Amino acid sequence: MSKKKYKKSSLARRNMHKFLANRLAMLGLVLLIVVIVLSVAAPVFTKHDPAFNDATIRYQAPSSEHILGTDSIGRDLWARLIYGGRFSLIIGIASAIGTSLIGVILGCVSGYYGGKVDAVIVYISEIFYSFPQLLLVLILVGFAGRGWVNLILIFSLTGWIFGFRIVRSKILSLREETFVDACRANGIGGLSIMFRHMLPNTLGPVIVNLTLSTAGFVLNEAALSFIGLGVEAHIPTWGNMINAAKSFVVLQNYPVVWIAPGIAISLFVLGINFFGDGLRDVYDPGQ
Amino acid sequence: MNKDIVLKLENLQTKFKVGKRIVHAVNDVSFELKSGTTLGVVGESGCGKSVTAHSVIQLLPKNGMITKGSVTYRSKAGELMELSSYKRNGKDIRQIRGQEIAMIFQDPMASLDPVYKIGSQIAENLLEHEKISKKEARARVVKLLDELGIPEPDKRYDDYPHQFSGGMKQRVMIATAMICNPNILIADEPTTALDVTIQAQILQLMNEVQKEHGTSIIMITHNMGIIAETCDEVAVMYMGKIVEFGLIEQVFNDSKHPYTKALLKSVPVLGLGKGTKLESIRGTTPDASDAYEGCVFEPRCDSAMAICKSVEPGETCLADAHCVRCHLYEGGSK
Repeated sequence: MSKKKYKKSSLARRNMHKFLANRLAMLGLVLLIVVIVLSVAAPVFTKHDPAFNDATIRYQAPSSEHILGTDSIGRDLWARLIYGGRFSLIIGIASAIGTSLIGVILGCVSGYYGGKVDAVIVYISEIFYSFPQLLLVLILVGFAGRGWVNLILIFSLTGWIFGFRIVRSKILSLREETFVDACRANGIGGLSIMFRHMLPNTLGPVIVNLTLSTAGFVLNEAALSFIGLGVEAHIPTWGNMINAAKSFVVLQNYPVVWIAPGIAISLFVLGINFFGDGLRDVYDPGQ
Repeated sequence: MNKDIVLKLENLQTKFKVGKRIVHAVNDVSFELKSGTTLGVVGESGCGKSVTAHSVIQLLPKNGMITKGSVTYRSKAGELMELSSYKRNGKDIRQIRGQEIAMIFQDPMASLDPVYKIGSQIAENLLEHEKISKKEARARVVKLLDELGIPEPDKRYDDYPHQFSGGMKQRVMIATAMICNPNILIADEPTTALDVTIQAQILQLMNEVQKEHGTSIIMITHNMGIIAETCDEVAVMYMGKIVEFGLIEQVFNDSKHPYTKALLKSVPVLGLGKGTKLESIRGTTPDASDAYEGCVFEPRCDSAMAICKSVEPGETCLADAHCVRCHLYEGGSK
């Protein structure tokens, strides 16, 4: 027996090096961090209350008092922008986690048991798949009403098919692996094999999907709020702020009011897409 | 059932449904496994050796089913259990798997879950079957890894499968199988994927484990050398049937069935001259889904007789449990 120490080569560490070497992904990460820090620590970066309105200072140009100026009822735009990030991010991230959870669980069950269970779940997913997601969301918002919690639930309910497909196809191929047989031969139960042994092997693509769908849901929220079906108007979100651009007067005369949230959305989505692509290069090099 | 017999298969028949066809993978297989001995099951690819073993612990794919016969097992506690009557993947059979009958697979590279530390994979089996704490489990795993010749077992416990070589992984697989101290170890071509020097180590290791724990082993292989090296008794299978069964000396030194003879002749021997041609068995194995009359081996048999074409040979037992399915020996030994 040798006493020589061997260096541990951790797969995680190797992956991290690969990620750090990817410039675009690092740019994405920086953008993400900036957006998240600004939103989470919003009170540190502004002394204004995003809901406080003062009708005497409507549509002010950017100044030292109001960094980005004020909106149609005199609320501070910068404050609304960074506080709005909170809701946009919560909706995006929570919806992405929700869809992934539903997708992962159904994908595992479907792929592992196969047969009739699989057929039923796949049929249901195909029903969801055959409608444009935004249309389904609009119908459901019509039933459930506006509100950010509703929005998260509706996004999760309609968006799970993508995660589901990824996990199901991975599980289908993992099912034929010898280590699954070996688990069975050791008397380990089906649920344990499914969620403790097969699921962790699918997590790479699931995490990639999670980041990329966060971007998608932030955009969806903005789109819905823009047409007035998203979050209630009094809550600041990026979508609600862009909503102001529906007025032609604003569109022509006060560009800062809609350009600022537009840039915020673009930067965040760009950041998370770069980040997600970087993750994909690491976890899913086959793509 | 005799006290020293741990496993008894009687007229076991396993079929696979492939589309509309029915494939007879295992046909009327009977044998007994004596406690503490090694039984070899040998035959060419697709002859049903693995399916026989998988049938024992109901580890068949979804389209496979046991249609006839029985598998009787004597547990550690001495109870007789009828394994073929258990529900597939039910709780009863799961308690047998791993704890009473364990299995190691052909490809150690693919037999370990790549995302878990090897130690916790071995411990998982232990925690599944015994009520002990994680700390105790770890201690036992480390001890076993040490016994199985893995250096620095306490450190290696926290390594991932990709940090192990093939031979080491097979040691880990043996550890996984042996951690609950099972009564029977089914080794499904345990050395096929390993190079020769490692093969010898692994076989020796299994031998030591058997001596220490009194485990009975079913060794499935197509390698005659491994059979000769490790087994006490041997069953030669062809097309889902055991065509010859006997003690290792009987089958190797006094083989009766033309298939066994042909198989032994086709083993390459070290020092075989360059000019000499290695014997092979003519023809190919027939399709297992076809219905056939007479002896399955008849089309490829050099000593085929008229009767072989129409009548299926029954089992003829010669001296000392040396049994053979061949018309040549019916009505007394020759």
